[in-house]
Amino acid sequence: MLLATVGGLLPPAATRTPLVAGWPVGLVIFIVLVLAPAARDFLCRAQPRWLGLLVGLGILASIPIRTLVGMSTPSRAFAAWLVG
Amino acid sequence: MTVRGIDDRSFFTSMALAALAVVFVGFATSYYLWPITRATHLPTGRPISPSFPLIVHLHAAGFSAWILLLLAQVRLVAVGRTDLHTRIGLVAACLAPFLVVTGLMTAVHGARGGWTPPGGPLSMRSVSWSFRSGTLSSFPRLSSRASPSAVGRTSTNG
Repeated sequence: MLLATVGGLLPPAATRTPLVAGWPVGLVIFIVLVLAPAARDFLCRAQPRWLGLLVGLGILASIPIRTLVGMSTPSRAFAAWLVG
Repeated sequence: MTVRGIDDRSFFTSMALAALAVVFVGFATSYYLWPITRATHLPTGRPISPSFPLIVHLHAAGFSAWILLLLAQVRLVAVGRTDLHTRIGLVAACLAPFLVVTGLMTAVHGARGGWTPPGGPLSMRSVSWSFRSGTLSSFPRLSSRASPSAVGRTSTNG
């Protein structure tokens, strides 16, 4: 539930936070939160949990992928149809 | 469980509080404190919706409830009330489809009004829409890990 909330729902809020040195401060916090469980596991546990790291990296990697998909012609056509 | 002085309860409570803070700060200007700020643009320069139709309120209520639910669930595990945690988990499972539907409807409504970030021409709207829909479609997949059957694992492991 935590990673679902952080990874799935936090980006819209993060991109709306005030800017610090030209960056939305929430975006930095978002990246930290996504990787924090995995970082904690690797730093503190004898047996790190790879699933947490993979999910965290997957969430971060999905952001540019979503943008690329969104810029594709089929996506634009579908969005245009949906928006009307 | 304590790991080198950092117990799970404190760690996951801190994570939930940080998520809550990001959501509040992120949407303070455009929604939560909008009656006070009356802002027309976000700090990033993006336009803010000049009105709040019902779908926006439903969307905000659902997502705010989810964030508060997250904090409550973490705290319930922290105080050992896993029975109540499991029951509330069923409510959360019912809330997830509502979030997806209202999120998509709000994104489309915003794109039609031109205020969905970045609020530019149609090509940019479609990028934005895709980003938002990608965000929303990833949410159920991730949240399915928080099913009641996996409640103990997910609530303590995130």
